[in-house]
Amino acid sequence: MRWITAIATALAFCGQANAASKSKEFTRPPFSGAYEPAGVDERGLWMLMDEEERSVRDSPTILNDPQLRDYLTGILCKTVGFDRCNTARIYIVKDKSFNASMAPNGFMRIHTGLLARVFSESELSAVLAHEFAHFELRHSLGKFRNIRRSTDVLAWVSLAGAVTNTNTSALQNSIVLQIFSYSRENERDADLLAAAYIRSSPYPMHFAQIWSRMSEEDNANREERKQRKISRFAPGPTDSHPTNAQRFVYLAKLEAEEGAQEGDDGASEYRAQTSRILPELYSALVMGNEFSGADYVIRGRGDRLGWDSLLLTTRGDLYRQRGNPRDLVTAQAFFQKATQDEAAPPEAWRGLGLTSLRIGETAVGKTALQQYLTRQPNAKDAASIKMLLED
Amino acid sequence: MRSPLYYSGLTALALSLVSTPALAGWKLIPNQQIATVDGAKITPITDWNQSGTRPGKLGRVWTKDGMSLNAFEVFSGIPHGMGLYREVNKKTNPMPKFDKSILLPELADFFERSFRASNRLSDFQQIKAEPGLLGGHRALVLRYQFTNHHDELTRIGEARLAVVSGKLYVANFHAPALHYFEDRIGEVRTMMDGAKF
Repeated sequence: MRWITAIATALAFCGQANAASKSKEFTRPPFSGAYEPAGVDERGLWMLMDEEERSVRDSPTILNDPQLRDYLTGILCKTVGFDRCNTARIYIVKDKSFNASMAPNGFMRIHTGLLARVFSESELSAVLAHEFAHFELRHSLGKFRNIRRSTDVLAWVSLAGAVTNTNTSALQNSIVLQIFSYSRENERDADLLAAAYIRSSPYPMHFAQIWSRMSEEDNANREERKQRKISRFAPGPTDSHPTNAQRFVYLAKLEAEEGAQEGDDGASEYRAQTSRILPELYSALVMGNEFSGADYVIRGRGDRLGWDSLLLTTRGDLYRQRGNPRDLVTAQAFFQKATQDEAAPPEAWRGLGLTSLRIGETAVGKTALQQYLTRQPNAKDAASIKMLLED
Repeated sequence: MRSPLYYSGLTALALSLVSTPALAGWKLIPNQQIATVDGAKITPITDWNQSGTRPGKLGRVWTKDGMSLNAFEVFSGIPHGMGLYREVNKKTNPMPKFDKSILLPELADFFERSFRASNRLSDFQQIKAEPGLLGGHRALVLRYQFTNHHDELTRIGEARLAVVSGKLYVANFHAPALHYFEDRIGEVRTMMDGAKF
């Protein structure tokens, strides 16, 4: 019953996206909890996903941090309502890409790369709400049925073409492309329902800027690789999502509405909660060989949430790894600034020592490395650093 | 009704036909015989199989039971400006280039970046990096752990990296943490100790 009401509300909402979004009086569909899948398709999907969840739960790629998980669950609850958020189980996946997903049985995967790229609770709430909207609208089931239906039709069309000796390739192409179009519609519906959730939550709506930043990060990487920058508004026929530009436009329109910016964005709390695990969030990006994109992301956090010694060390490491002579000078400056903070991570002295030695400032380098070993005598590379000091 | 032997014969024939092309890419490295791997000479204690596919321009990979169960890679004489592994996708996932001015402890970071790019890893942790020897040359011994997304099995690796006359030499072994790593690491360490460049 919950689903019927939810779908009816969502369809009504999606059908009149503008009208609904302008209304501040969005009421979440009633929720009864303990939903059991209905019908053979849905039961099958849930069974598959239950198995998948067991494997994810025990996977070494999961960041097992109960404090962070509870924090993320809290944000989801504030966004979609405390009654329905308990249906979701959150798993944090060690993956540098910007992604999150929610399975039809209610398990949600959030990549560390996503946490690295959003800078407040309000931004994160938008992504969580989007994923939850897919779940609430049962998009996985819809997609599965759509693909099955389309491929059935495809087989019949192909057979009919062969029997009647008629070229049906155009019709077959349009059937395949319809699958992608259906997926884009789902994404847009989930965006709009997410926007409605946010409007009825304590958070301001900060959704559009995420997509504009994604475009900018992509373009930063493209510029570095000497590729043409992409700023497409219309999606390609095989795109599964609306383009970043498209999402930015319709979400920015919703954000500009009266009252949409009311509330605390929770940026300071987000900073406090994620600073604790900053190396976990950024290490794959720093080691990921996409210098410009990683620098764009780190700079984004620094400019938005402030530069602390941990973030300065992270950025210093990024420059040190690329290792051009100019990068070493820049990295040294970041490490120097970081080490002015007594509470800086020991890696700040490590970075300062290594860059100074490579620049040729041996005395500064050795002093910094001594500091590193004093602060972290059991460092994983302590023995090799000691050897460097003895040279 | 045919006998079970008939069916097993058919199966064996089918398997031999299927496996023929795969065998063509492998070379037996017999035990106790010095094997020349580009610029390195290695003496295996037991038989190994060398893949016909190079992991990098100046690298070779050996295995006992298949690369996902144990892989021993040797790279010899990587010059300044060259990547360790073969480019997976130069545009979206470029391989870092070796810089001869790199310091010994930094070789661990260079290896991590190369290994991550080659295997498209998000989960890689350096466990220990300490000084050691590779073929009698001063080297960094790196112990690491990683997980592939496709099988989610925890794997352990041990790499020795040395810079000799401005060129990089690497011997690297990785295998699943469960049984396979400990099963072979002793033999691999002996090969690393005895390697000659």
